[in-house]
Amino acid sequence: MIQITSRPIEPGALLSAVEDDGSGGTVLFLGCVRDHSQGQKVIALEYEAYEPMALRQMEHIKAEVCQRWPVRRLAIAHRLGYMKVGEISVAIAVSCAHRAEAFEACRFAIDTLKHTVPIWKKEYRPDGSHWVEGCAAHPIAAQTETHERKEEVSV
Amino acid sequence: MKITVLLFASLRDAVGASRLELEAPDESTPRQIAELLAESHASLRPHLRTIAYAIDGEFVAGDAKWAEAKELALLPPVSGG
Repeated sequence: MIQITSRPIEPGALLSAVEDDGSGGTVLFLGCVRDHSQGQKVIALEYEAYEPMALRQMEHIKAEVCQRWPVRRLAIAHRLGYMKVGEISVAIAVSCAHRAEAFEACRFAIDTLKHTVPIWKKEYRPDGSHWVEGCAAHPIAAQTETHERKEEVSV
Repeated sequence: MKITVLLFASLRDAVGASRLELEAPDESTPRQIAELLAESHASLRPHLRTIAYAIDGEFVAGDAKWAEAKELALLPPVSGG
């Protein structure tokens, strides 16, 4: 299940999508609208996407995750539009035979989504709104190199 | 060549349009097309350094060559999640 939707995300739908008798561990990540950012109060977020590309990049993430970890099932949903504090903007569910790889795979999926999927959010604060400029967009391969470089530097 | 440029989020606001038809010299690279656009839309210029490019839904390098005119998307830094 790879989905971009304008409707509220139902975590149960993602858990159902990754149900699997061979999986002993399922990890569900929910990204929610937070009431603050960089010390400022946030009222709401509004998301938009370059949808065909976003779906394609989400499929690439799924393929990459399944290549790196023994994932049995994976589901990603991202919501678009205006969301108030507490609402779920993104959800990722991963089921694996064992918990360790489920945690790692889910972490990689959300971290990668934030770099490679063309989705943007506008932050609404009491004093106005502005686009959040996150990570310079790049494909998965470039991100992997960046990660490896960082690891080399820190060693 | 005639090319369609798609703009999103802060870039759309800077240019005031989400889609533009542009006449560019043949064999222009994505970066050259963005620079061409910035000549007529100065508000785009501060964004040029951080733009990523995509053709038909896949990332391409700023100096990529492509055979025929297609849809070029200019992507500001992403902030999904």
